[in-house]
Amino acid sequence: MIISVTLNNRSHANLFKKRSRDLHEAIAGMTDTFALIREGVFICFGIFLLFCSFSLLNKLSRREISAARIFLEDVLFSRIILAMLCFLVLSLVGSGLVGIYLISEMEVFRVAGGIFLMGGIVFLSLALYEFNRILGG
Amino acid sequence: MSALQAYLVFMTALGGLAGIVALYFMLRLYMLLHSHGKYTTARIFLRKGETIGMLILMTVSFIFFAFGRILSFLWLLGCMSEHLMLLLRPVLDVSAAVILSYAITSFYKEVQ
Repeated sequence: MIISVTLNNRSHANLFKKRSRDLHEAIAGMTDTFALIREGVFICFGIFLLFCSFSLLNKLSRREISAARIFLEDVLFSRIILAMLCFLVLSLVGSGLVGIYLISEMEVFRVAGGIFLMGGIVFLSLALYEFNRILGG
Repeated sequence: MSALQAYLVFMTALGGLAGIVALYFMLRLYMLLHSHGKYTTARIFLRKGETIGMLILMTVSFIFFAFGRILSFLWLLGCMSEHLMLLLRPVLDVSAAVILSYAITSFYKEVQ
């Protein structure tokens, strides 16, 4: 009977180990999928940001017109600064979480950091789009 | 901790520090714009040489940031090794954060 209980405990332990390994593999797979989604979002918004930035550089080179348009649209300009503020807050929190992940190597921080960074890039894109609109785009 | 990991932590800390400076001056700029919108934008108009220059610098920092994102996608596609990506991307991100914090600080000082 003792042997049977021991065998039973061993099989439970093996089952637990197997399930734990499966869970770890599942989390690793999910984080890889998450990395793919994150980089996909980054590339989409990255190309949009590049396009908006070069367009902005072109428009800002006409200093007189740009300054006049900013003066006329002061409420919108204040909203752009607010969107940039949100971008900075989300990016800082995100990079802090990624920094914690680099030290602790816990995947949850990497995922949470990625979500915050994605939020940040969305706000930055919004700010640059609005800025382009103010400068006549 | 490996050398690469230490390098990444150092660059994250440096970028975070520059980001905190940028965040502080951005918050002050927003409060200034919120309370004295017309006055602040009038200062932008009157000192257009400096302020628009700083806005151009800010845009350049966003270009650096976007290039960092494109770099990590190139790694995901297999066009670049992970080691090279981990070395280059933090440099671009920290450069973007430093340029942004300098631009925001100067912009705020011009319009306050």
